[in-house]
Amino acid sequence: MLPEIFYGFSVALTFQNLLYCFLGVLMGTLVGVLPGLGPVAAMSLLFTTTLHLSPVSGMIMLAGIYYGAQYGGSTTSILLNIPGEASSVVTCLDGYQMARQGRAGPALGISAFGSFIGGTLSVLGLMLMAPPLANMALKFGFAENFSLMCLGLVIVSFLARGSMLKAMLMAVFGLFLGTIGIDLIVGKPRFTLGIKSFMDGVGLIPIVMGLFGISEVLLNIEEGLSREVFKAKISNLLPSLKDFKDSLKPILRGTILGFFLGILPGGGAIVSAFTSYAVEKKLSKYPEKFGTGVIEGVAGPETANNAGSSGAFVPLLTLGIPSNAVMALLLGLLLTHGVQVGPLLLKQHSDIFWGVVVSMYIGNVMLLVLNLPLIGLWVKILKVPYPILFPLILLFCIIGSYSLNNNTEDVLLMIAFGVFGYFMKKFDYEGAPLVLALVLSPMMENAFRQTLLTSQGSFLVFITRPISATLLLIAVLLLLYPLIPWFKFRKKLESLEADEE
Amino acid sequence: MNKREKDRFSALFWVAIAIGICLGSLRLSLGEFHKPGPGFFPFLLGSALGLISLLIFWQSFKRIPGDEKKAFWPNPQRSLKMTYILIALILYALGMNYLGFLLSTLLFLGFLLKAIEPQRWSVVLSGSILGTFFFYGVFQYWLDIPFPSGIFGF
Repeated sequence: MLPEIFYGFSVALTFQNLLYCFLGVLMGTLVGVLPGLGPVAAMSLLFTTTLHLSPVSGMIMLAGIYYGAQYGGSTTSILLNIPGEASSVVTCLDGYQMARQGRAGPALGISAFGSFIGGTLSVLGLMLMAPPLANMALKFGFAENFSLMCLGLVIVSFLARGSMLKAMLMAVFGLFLGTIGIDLIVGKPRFTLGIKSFMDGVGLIPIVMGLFGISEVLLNIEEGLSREVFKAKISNLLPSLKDFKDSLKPILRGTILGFFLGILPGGGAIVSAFTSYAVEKKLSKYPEKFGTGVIEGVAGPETANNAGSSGAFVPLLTLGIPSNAVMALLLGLLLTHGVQVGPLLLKQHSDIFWGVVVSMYIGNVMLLVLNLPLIGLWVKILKVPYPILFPLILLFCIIGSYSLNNNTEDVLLMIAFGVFGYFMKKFDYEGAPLVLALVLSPMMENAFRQTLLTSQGSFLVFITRPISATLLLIAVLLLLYPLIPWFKFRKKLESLEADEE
Repeated sequence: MNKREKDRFSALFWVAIAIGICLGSLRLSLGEFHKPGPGFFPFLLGSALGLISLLIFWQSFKRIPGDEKKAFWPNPQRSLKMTYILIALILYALGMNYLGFLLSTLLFLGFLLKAIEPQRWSVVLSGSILGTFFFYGVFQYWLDIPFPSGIFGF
């Protein structure tokens, strides 16, 4: 593996790639710090920009935004009690309390060190795990690929924060949106409503920007987002020896947990951080103190969310299947460049794989430098009032959508999805399963139709092939899992009735 | 509107969408199992969408403890501001080709800075002028993305 790593360094250390890695992590930290603009929206905004670059540079920059946002997100959680990113929600619990007790410095410090360790070690995991997984995936046919994508979407729905049914509904609707445009097998336009730009399919970027950018601004304006920055002076960013000692195990556990949970579709940084917090609380000698400013409650989740963001690259780079909305965007970038994503990526485009992976090491070092000495700068940026920030976010979204094809149809589509996203959030529906399904849809339909063509119309092929059957079985079990409480409730009710009789 | 009402209302919306998708798919032709047509996969998706919506509708009749009614738009004044933003967005998107990027962006930023959360005129003017030229410079000159010049030629 050493020659590949050296090759990765030779790709990542070119001036151009270093520059784009730096821009990516800088933008990532910025959007992480600024509430109201997440990494998905930021990556969509710069998506068009990256089309002018080589696929490696584009991937390095967009990936930098993603893991950079995990670093930046902790700053707002600790200083404002407002998570910059969803994955930093749990950091608020103990991080903000530490800041209130005058320990904002060590909280920020340990979250940066934890993020660095988690991010770096999980990149190592990615390097070790990806090649054998890609080799295994070479054995997959159309049926296996279809079943794998089904399982992916079911896991995304299963791990959704709200109702599983609603998440599934969004995934199915996303799959439908992906069918809009000319059918590639018979060349017939489908559901285009006479709109010219729909012939090539509905654009991923206008939809993502609408769902994650515009709708967020609308909601923030409606709710009247107000922020009060923690006013105490931040000093002693270097945690004490005791802090390090207390944090060492949570950081290591957070790395392992984060990495493996990040691999799961729908997992990524958010689930990793929440699980790490729960685990640390469970294992702690003083669980009752969690929520009052315990450093383990910051170190574990902050490490896990960065490790999770690297773990999420495993299914994308080995199977060509994105595990969350961010990975879906990265997949979109590679497909736009005509790169065949899947198990062969490692062989056919080793520069992309090793270049991106190694750039993540370099990016993590850059983030450490950016986040610790420059904390004062980020706090200043936090003070930019939202009424001045939101017009710029909107303008960015519009220009980002417009520049895709230089037409206003994309902008109008983005606005429509902004309104859709607004109502979706009001009615408690999540956007991530929709985006994921939208990207998977053409691949999934192709796999489905090709399987039926080769099996001469027999659906049995999905359950007679062992790998496909196993994947579908897991999907079905996950779908049935929510029924367990219902069965228990029925059983209890029956026993109560029997007792009464 | 409480959670149950929201779920019921949204489920009905999705049922309507599902029916639309299924009808549209039928018009496209479903084909045969051994040779699925262009409407086959969307038809399956429409059916799944309908089924899930009905399950959400059915679930919405279950009682949820502590499910209180809340106003859908709790602050009408702020909701109005949101509507202004939407109108500004649509007008900006449609007007960019006629007025050109520079003028329309200047007006768009100026309006948002003054009308939504009113700022001082100095902030409005400097914010909209700097914002417009910054974006113009970055996208037009650095990234080579052509913007419409409009009827005034700029």
